[in-house]
Amino acid sequence: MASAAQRRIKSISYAKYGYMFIAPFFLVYAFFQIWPLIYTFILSFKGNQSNCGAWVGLDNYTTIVLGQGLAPGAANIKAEFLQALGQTFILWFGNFVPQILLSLLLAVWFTDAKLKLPGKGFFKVVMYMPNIITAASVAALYVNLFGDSERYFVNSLLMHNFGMEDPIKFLSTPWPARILVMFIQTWLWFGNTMIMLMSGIMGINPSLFEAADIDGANSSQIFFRVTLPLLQPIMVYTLVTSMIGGLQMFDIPYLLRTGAQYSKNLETVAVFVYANFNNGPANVSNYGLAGAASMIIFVITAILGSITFYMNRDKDEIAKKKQRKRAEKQYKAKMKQGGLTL
Amino acid sequence: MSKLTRTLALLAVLAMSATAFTACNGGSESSNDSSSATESSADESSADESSADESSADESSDEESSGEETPSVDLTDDDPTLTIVCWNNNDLGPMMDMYGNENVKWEQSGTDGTSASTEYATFLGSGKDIDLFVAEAGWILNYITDEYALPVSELGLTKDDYKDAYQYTVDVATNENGDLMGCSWQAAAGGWAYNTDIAKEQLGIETPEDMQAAVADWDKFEETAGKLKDATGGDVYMTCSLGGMWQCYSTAIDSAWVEDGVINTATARDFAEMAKKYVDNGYVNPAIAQWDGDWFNYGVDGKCLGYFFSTWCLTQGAQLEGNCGTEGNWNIVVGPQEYFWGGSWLCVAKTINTKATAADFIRYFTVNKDTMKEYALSSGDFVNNKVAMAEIVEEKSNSNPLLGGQDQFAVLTEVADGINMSDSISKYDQSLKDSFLNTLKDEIESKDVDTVIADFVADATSKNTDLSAPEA
Repeated sequence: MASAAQRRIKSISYAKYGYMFIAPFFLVYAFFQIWPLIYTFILSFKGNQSNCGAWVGLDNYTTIVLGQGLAPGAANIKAEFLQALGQTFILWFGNFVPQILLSLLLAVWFTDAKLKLPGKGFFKVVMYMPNIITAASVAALYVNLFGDSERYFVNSLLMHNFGMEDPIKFLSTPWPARILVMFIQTWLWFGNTMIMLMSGIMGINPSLFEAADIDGANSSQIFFRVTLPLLQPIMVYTLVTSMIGGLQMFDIPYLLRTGAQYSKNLETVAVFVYANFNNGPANVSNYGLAGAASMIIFVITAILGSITFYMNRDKDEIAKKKQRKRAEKQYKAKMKQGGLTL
Repeated sequence: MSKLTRTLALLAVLAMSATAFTACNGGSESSNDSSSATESSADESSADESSADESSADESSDEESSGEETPSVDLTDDDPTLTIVCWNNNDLGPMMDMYGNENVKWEQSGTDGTSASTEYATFLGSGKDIDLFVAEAGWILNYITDEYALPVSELGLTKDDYKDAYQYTVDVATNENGDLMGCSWQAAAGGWAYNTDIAKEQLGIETPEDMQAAVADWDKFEETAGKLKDATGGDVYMTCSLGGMWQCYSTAIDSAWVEDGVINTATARDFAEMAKKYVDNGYVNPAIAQWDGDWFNYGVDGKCLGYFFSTWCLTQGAQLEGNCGTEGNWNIVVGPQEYFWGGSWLCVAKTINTKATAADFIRYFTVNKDTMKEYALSSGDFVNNKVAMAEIVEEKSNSNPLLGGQDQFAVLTEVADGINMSDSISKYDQSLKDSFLNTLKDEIESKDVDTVIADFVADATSKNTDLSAPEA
């Protein structure tokens, strides 16, 4: 028989203090993350410029996706958005592929016990270094290197030392500018990806590599048969984060420019959103369009993320699960029939 | 003990959530501002009455310094510091030096006039202590609204104070209710500034009069550009940027960008045709936009004959000095057409709490003839007072060392008289101008004029959901 005191102690729950202590985070999260998200969603149903604040239903979405809406220039808005979307994918693809290849190669080299590369620590630091420079500084650096006229480094070099006649307009012609952005993004991020892949490779049981070695596998066989399959979880993570980052690419494309205006050839969806949102007071900005474009890119990201997960799911595991279920069913069915006859 | 822990935890939570709430408030409040405006101004005026005794002493001294009639409005400083927002201190620096009050300071928003046009929205809505803000002609209409500004009558200034001012500065800053919302200290008449050494060596032009004759209209301007190209083999451009030519070409014609919600492309098309000729012939480099790195350097490098400069480019430390050097080998003439470029207005921010000093500062630079004259002579800015400017020109007391001693005021007073922009400005102007010049820069070299105009309209209508394209 428990005493009154014991009963009271039982009824005391310390859970509420736990909730109190974690409450600040959730409050801040709600106000700075959830509410802006919801507000963006609300804004996407409201009007632009003179029409700001008015409820317009799905107008912004039809404008962006179908080119039909209240704005007289709806078709042009659709065209600009589609161009921005296309450029986003071009820029992302063009920096992701070389970046992952380079990082993978370096990660394998740096983790290979047989190679015994000297100065690993030094190279790791140097390769990670670009990532700690702010994008604004990087953009300023590259604008000064690849500026359109002979005053800038690369053109001046080509014109004075290699006898080129006219400067190459790296920044204002579409493809040179895009390739430049791809290069900068690769240069900025390959160190980061490399570190991540290295940690993935180092997480693989070394005895597997030894076993492969003893069995006489060469290094490419080890890479394709051992490293890559076991690296898959990290690869999926890298792919998904890089995709989200790529679809939101903003700083370098926005800042790599010659004048006061961002370059149209580098306009990504994020730049489209920002340009529509940040055009001065509400009655000259397009809050609605910016909100709708944000929601669309959110949906695209969600879909692509799901596809990546689906494609990279562990097929063996799923097949095994199915087998197990089938076996279970068979067993049950047989049990119903009257048990196993051995 | 447990009570103490509980109380502490609760306190921590409250403190954290309180910070979260206050941080959020800044944004949401701006939308309420317009509704609570009347209340707060009422509050302020009642507060003013209670402290009227203190302020009367202040005002008598204000009166002396400004030499104008004291308005019936009670003006007090609730906060000693007068904060003025601008995108640079090219003008405000010398103004604050001359005004000599340590309590006047400036804050930066935006890096140039164009970026300020968008950044002000955030900055002015941030709840900072802002008393006055500077707005430029291209986008002043976006900010002299109830959301951001108060009429200058709040500071006791009326249109009568500006009878000697250039009329357009009053017209531009008057809103649809007839309230004056901003006061300009300058009249931004533009001219054609050129490098006298290049003119002499390459074209044999010795005096400003000869130069004016050589660029008297656009035909002559083109002819001279051709001569310059022949003489230098294309090493020296006639002018640095198409943007500068556009400024001269467009404002002289006084055509509105927007008519009944439709973009007017007539002037833009005419200009694009002219620009095409210039670019094809190599008279101007289309890749350079105003305010580009190269735009700043071509003058000093001797790679262009001249710039289209407005009065505010000619002040100390401004573009004439930066782009063209301090050797005094530049002169200014009227150029192919009389035009204007820019011009800045001091507007009263909603959050003003330094009314007495603000009123005095504005009077000092936009109303008081004597101080304005002094400012014109010390800074080289073309002040917004016809009488003061006429006196300076008559006395021949101004000479600009950057222009080799030439008096730019004498050249530009007539231009300033003729400025008219009241019916042609709209809140879309800055955006349309940016759109047009950007398209021109990217495409004029490789595409025909029809495509350039079509692309410009496509860009402009996609950025401005209010506007429609002209019918083909």
